Amino acid sequence: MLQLAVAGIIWGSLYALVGVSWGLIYSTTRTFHFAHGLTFTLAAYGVILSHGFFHLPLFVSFGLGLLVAVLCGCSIEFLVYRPVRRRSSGQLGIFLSAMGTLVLGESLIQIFFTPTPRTLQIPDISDIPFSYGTIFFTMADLLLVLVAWGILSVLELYLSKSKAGREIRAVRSNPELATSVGIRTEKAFLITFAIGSMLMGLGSFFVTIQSAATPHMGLHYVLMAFIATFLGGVGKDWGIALAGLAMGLVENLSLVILPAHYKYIVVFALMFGFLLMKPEGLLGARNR
Amino acid sequence: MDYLAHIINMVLIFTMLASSLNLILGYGGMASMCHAALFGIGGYASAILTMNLGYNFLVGMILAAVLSGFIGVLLATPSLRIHDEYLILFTTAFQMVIWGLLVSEIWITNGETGLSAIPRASVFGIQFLKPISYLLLIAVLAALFFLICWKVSHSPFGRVLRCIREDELSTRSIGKNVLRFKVLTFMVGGAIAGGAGSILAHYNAYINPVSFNLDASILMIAMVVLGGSTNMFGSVVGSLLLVGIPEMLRFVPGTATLIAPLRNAIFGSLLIFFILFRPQGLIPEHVGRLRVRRTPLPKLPEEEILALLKQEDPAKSHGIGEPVIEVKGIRKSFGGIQAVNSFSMSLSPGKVTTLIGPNGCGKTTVFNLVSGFISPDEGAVYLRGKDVTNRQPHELVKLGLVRSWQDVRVFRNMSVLDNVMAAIPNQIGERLVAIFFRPRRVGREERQNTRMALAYLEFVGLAEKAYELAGELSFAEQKQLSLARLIATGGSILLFDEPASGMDVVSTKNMQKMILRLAEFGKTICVVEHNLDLVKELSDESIFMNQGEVIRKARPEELMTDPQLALVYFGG
Repeated sequence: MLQLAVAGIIWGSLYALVGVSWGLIYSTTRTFHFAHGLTFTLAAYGVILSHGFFHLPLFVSFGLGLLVAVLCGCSIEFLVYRPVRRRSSGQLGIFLSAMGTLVLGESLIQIFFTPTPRTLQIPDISDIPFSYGTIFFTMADLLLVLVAWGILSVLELYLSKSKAGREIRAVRSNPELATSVGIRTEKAFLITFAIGSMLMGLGSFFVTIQSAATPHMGLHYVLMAFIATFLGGVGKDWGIALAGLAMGLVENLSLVILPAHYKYIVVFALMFGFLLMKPEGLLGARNR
Repeated sequence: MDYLAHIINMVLIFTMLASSLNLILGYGGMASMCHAALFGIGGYASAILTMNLGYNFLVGMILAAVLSGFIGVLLATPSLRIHDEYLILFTTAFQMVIWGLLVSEIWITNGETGLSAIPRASVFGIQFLKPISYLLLIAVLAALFFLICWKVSHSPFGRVLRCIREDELSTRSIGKNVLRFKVLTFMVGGAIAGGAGSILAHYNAYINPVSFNLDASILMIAMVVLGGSTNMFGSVVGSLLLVGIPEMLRFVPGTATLIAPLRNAIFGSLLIFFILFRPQGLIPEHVGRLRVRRTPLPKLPEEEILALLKQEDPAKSHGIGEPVIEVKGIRKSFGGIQAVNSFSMSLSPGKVTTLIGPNGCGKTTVFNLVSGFISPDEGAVYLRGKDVTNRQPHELVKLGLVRSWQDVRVFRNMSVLDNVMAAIPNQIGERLVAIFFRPRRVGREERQNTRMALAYLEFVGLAEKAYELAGELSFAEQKQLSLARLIATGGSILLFDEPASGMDVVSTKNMQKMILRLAEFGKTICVVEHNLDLVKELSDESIFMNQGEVIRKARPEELMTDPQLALVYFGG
């Protein structure tokens, strides 16, 4: 059971990371960025190709993965969301274009790379195991947890202290007012997408080096990101992070009482029930 | 030949799915990501019932439809508490849970292996085996389901759905029980999806969870949107497109193994393309509708118009002069801010009471409290002696209390006439049973209501623009429309929130005239206004508010010459 709790913390940290990455984008740009899953998937394939195929050093692949993620997110914002917003098709239009992008992107990946899962064949330092009695985790797991919470703290500092961070927070709370004091909303949006995508790429790296890259892997994580965001409260980064952690714990600890094949749907059932009881979120959502 | 028949059959099945989803998504504006789940529930239910309990296909289909419809009701019931974006999440979660259960509950569903050897359909002893013989059966059923969707969407019920899609708050303020409409729409849409599932199961004699996953739900949404949402023929086109194109791919050499991802790539790019370049879809909403006047507008005699306006609502049995509305000591705070503090007022028929005060003093909050959109922390509101403090807005409208909105809130993408017709109370065309079993009466009532709506438009001076889209009217005209919509509800107690804001002198004078006429007809009127000249002309009694409290009640002239109040209103 302790092992499950540890697994819960590991997965929970991952969900916290992807949750905040999506939540940041949503709260600032009000874009239902479904295609965030594509960012995750592309980053994964970037890492696989560069390290597994071209045999570049791992830290170079790491950087490449992040780069691919950022490029992916920003291009989608630039090529898809911005034009759609200009045509003012409303929230539904943005959501549909996001879905279309995700479906298109994942299908293209499936066509080019085939559905076969791609793994890194080379054993790595990241696979160094740690074992304490019944508890077992790898170096990669440890790094994930440390890096995830570390980067979230850095993000909070960035948002509160830096100029760009202040602009993002301004746009978050009142986009019209932000424009009228001279903040270029479109620039703030792009930065937000860049940061959010980078975080997603980070999560993707740690998942990929331990398991595999498949064309549809991103979907699961973007769905978890939605749930974490709405459970935690739009605009409340720490709430989202906590929600992500809770989700990881619930998902893994549920194995104590439920059979294994329910693991995947436990979180959705939780979300479903939660929305029935408390439509405003874990720490109380901001009013739109 | 068999192959062609198969394609047509699949197109027909997806037409059922697209048109039922169109009711929910296109007309009702509700983003449902779980249509495939409802489809799947129907399919598995029918398969299990016919395989294990020996029921006939038709029985299986009907039971499947009933089950899916019921689940649709369960889904929609909490929907009022869940706002748009959450609904996407909510229905997605439901979709994933159902799909997960279909995969994991092997003892019922056989998991990913699927259910096979599902008995083929047999109706009245006729066995259907080959695709081409199924064609007739499926075509008949598809036509039936399509007809149901078409009838619902083109009825007064469908009109209210469009209002909900446009502006839910506004729809509640004209007396519609929005929850009821949402629940019923999910019921009909879900039932048809379930029926379609049953048909698929018995047609293929095999089902597995892959057909009912999130991708399938997204595909259905794409069909609705690409074909043209809020247009039933659009759903036919959409399913033709998204079933037909991938099938044509089979003829392109070298793509055989890539059919699935290629189809997805195509529909993904089509989705993006359409949202960017043709968001209204292939067949837009207003094609073939009332864009062109079919008959010349009947000119209604003056007496009829006046008779309509003087119509007393049946609940009224009050003497003129006695207060119809009594507000006693209502209070409301939001967080730490006391928005309204011990506010009281009485409104009587034939009188116009005005509510004035600086911005942010709580005037609109008072309106929200009185009209049921929010509940006071303390205090009460009495309507003809009855305590109506915590009633819902639509219940208050039925009792005769209606309000207008500061930001107008007309239904922009509907015609001016539809805007007014939607507000007319007691329409039997808003009941599903009547739509199908009393079509003649519904038709008669529609014609009557059209004449009434035109009369109201005549009163406010908008009759000429009856068939234009409300969103294309000028701001002043939208305000006139909002007034027509308000009086169409038949309400006797009218709360106007800044009726003249943003209007020029001439339009303001017209508004003044109309409000005074309504008072002459015996309506009880309360107006929130900033235009002090208008306030003087309209009312004998004015209430000055500041910071949520009543400061003074007096004639407008007295309030305006009070130096202390001037200080509050205009600043030091």
